[in-house]
This record gives sequence, structure tokens and C-alpha cells, in this order.
Amino acid sequence: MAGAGRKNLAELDSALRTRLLRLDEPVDRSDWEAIVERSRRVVRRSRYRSLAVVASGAAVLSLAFALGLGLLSSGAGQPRRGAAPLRLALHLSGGSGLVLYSVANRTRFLDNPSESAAPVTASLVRSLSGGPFRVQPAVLRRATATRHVAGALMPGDEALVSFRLFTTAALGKTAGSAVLRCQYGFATSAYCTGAVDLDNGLRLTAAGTLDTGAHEFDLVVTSDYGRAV
Amino acid sequence: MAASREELEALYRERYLGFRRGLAATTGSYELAHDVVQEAFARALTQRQRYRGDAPLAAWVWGIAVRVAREERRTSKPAGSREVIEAELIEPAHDPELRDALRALPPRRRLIFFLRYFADMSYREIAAVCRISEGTVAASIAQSRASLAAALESGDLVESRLR
Repeated sequence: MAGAGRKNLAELDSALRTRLLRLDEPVDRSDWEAIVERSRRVVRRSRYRSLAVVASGAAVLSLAFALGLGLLSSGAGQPRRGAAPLRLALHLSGGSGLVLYSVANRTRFLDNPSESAAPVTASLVRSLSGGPFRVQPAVLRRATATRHVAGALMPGDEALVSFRLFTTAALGKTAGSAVLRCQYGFATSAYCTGAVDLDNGLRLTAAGTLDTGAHEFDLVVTSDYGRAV
Repeated sequence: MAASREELEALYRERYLGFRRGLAATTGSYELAHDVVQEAFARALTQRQRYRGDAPLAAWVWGIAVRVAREERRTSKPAGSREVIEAELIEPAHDPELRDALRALPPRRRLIFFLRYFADMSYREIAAVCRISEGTVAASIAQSRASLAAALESGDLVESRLR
């Protein structure tokens, strides 16, 4: 074991080399599997630290991601030009938070027919273009025999919307993705829950109420990977 | 140019002892050095996308290991202790004369000597870790060897006269 992997010692004169080799050598305890396991813990730890740093009220963190809602013309390309950004603030404990910009790229909408509506109305899949996400019909996943009616949200309607997240309102650098599930209430509001996956590996879940006519809304971060904030 | 998992594994398997030996000189024990090596490679594995390929992979991992060693010193030593990484002989009792000769080297030169002959690193790797030129590494090592040879030779002379 002594001298293993010490080819550079050959440069030294023999007396010094012998004395260095006479010193105790570490025992080879290399264990690659232990490193792989440890790396998983490193990932978990860094995610927790990321959240802890963000959540720390003492730190003046203004991670100003911007969240706006734009549109993708074909589901997974670049945001459509002129899409109006809509800001989403994610609030963390301690008073700090994140603000992100987003672009909706997929959506499913489940309507809840009006009690007084004719039966045919029940088959409508209503557009979300009148709602807070401003999703255009081109982005909607169309079903057969559907027709889109702007601004026809009904209590109980549900929307599932996925977003690409960006760090700036210019939608330049991506920050991750998110999926929100919202159910519209009796007034002009909806209750939403969702998951936010950031590119740095942090996964957040969030919930909150939003005004269907607003250009920005707020969600409270409830956990990361099931860990309470 | 990210480092692949296989490259890191190969580096680890080939150089584990060198890393541990070199880190023991800066952490003060082989046990702690083993832990630092494990942590450094675990972090390298998770951060391998950040490796840009502008320095040898071993030097990049060494940079991580030095940071881990610093963190370890910060948590294990009282506040106010020096954060400078200094290399020391781990088994000084085995050869007190060699210990004294190594301690007589300036800290930076001593660290370079340990990286060369305990961690078995190339000039290029040492240059990348210490952020100096390869020429400076070579000059530092030559000076260290001359100093050690002189110190140990005079010690041998004293010893032979005492016999």
C-alpha cells in the first residue's frame, strides 16, 4: 500500500523519498457507491438550503423572477410576441418571496354548466381567454363538438394550466415550469393549487386565491418536496 | 463540457489515496480527509454540469475539496481561527526532523509540495488549484526540494557527529 499512486516521488532524491514513504499511509477506503448515495443527500440538502435561504426574512432576498402569462403559438415553442406578461408572486414564510413570469403552454378546462342553461350548454368547453390566464383558443386542447365562449366562467369550472417560467418579463432566460389547478368560485375569484419546478432543482407547491380579472396574483408556498416551509 | 459520471468515478478510483493523503495534510487526520474526499466527490457528482473543461478534472474536484475542507475547519475550529489552508505532516512523531524541515517552508510553498508529493498532482493541476502558473509551481517545488535537502542534510551531519 505504501507509495501507491505516488509516482511523483521518483523526482526526489532517494533519502527524502525513503523518508516520505516511511510515513504512515492512509488505508484505501474508497467506496464509489457511498459517494453516489451521498450525492443524493447533497441534492436534498442543497434544495433545502435554497428554500431556507429564500425563506429567511433576515436575508434581503429579492429573487425577482417575474411571472407573466404569455402564450405559445404552438404548445412548446417560443412565447408569442406581444403576449402580455402577468405577474405571479410566490410568498414564503418570513415575508420574502419569488416573483416569476410565465407563459401558458398547455391547458385543460372542465366546465360546470349553469343551472339555467339549456342542455347544449353543458357540452361547451369554455375559453379561458376571459379568465386570469388569458389563454387563447389556439392553446386550448380542443375536444370534439366544443365551442369557445370568452368570459363565460361559471362557479365550479376547473382549469389545469401548465406554464413555462422565466426570470424576466422579457421572457429571455427560463426559470422552470409550473402547473396550476384552479377552481372558480361564486364571485370573481378562483382557488388554485399547483407545483412549481425551478431549474435549480427546487420543487415548490403553492396555493392561493386569485381574482379572475386581475393582471397579477399571489400564491403562498406551502412546501418543497413535502417538507413544511 | 460537463464531466461525465464515468470520468468522475474513474478519477476517484484512480486517485482516491492521493486525494486523501493530500487532504489529510490540510485537515489534520486521515479520517477527516476521507470524509472530505467523499463529500467533495459527492458534490462534484451533483455539480458535474458546471465543469467547463478549462482545467484538469482532478483540479476542479480539488477546488471543491479545498472548499469542503475550509467548511470543515470553520465548523470544527473556534471562531477567529485562521481559514488559510496549511499543509502539515500527519504523522509528525514518525520523523520529527522531516516535520521541522517541512514546517520551515513558507505555507504556500509547503502546500504546493504536499500537492505534488502527497496528492501526486501534476504541475498543471496544482497550477489550476492554486491559481498560479505552471512555471511558478515548478520554481516553488525546486526551491522546496533544495530547502529540504539542505535542512535534512545538515540534520544528517549533526546526527552522524552525535553517533
